[in-house]
Amino acid sequence: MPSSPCHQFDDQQLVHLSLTDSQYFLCLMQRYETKLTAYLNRFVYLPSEDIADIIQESFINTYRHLGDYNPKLKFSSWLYRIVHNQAVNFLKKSRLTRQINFDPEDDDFTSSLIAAVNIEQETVNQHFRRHVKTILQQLKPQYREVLVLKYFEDKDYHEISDILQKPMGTVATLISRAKHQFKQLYETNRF
Amino acid sequence: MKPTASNRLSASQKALQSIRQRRLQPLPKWHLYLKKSLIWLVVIFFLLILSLGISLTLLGMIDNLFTPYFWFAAVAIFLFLSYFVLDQSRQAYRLETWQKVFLISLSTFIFGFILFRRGFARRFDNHLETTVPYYRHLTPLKINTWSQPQNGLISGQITQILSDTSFKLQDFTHQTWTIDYSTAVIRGRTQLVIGQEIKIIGRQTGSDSFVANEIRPWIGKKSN
Repeated sequence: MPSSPCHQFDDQQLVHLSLTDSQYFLCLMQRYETKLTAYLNRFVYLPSEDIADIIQESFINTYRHLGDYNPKLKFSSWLYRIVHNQAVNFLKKSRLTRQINFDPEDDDFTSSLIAAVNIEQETVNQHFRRHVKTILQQLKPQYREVLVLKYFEDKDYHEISDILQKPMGTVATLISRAKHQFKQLYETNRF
Repeated sequence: MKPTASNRLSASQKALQSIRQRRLQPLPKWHLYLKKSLIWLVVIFFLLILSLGISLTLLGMIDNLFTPYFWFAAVAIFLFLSYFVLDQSRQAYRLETWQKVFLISLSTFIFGFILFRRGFARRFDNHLETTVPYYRHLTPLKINTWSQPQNGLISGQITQILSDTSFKLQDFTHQTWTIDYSTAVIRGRTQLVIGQEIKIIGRQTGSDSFVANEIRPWIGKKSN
């Protein structure tokens, strides 16, 4: 382990230290591993071993390109981008369609999403919450991924733009369309 | 490293193990700068070609020197290539597609216009005409039309004023002619000064002599 505890360094400092000592990189990886695992579980439906492999490869990729990290960007956004791209490539190679796997009892996610799409709270019941996953699976992948990043990963527009490498205007449009489609699916299915 | 409680390594620990076993290192900065520099060099090169293409398109359209279709097609191709390569740069994703296209178009149009106004397009066009055989086929030239002394059409640049009625003209094949303009009609804003490019309707009187009936500026109206 590094001589100094990891928690006293911020991400940028750890990046700088990792360039000369890979042990500091372990601090960075451990800081984000749980979050990234949870993110992938909501984004793709894969066995845990595949998720772990994607994260492992992403970390190795990140380490190799540490010198390319732009400090003007949040390190978390850069890392999420690498993981996102790695997951997309994995799915393309394995020709799997992206499904999601998340806990429908996750009230924070469900509640904030429901509020965002202006669905009447009175009509929302426990039964509906269980169908959120079904609705999300019916969404186009590009709509689903922005909703997950916005309402579960709690990323702002700027961060989503950096992660998905799309202009902010496009991100805003995607989120708007995603919410619109979500509401349409909800009304069509009459939950 | 200590294994986890379930005696399996986490993704972080496995990654670190792999990094050490494979003796991986972060890519050196020069490697990354080289890649970025190459991208930008290619972008700048394509933008220069694009500007040149725009200046030559302007030459063809405004000067009515040749049909501009070839250069117009070249502009379209290099616009696409410039956009594609620019998109590989680090910050490009922050711009919308229309913003990237607008930036490329505006900067190259301005630069292309400057090249055109400076006469670079014409010089380059003449150079291509004399050095690249296929160029004539790709850009049918007005020069060909106005380089038929046997049919009473000649064009070129005035190189010497001999008298009030004659001057020396070097045509675009670099042959020098003695022009008698004593009975010629001088059209519009034609100026008979050294360096002026003109086109002449008349008749050939010798291997290097020509009598002019009408003299017009080389850069004329479209109807010319």
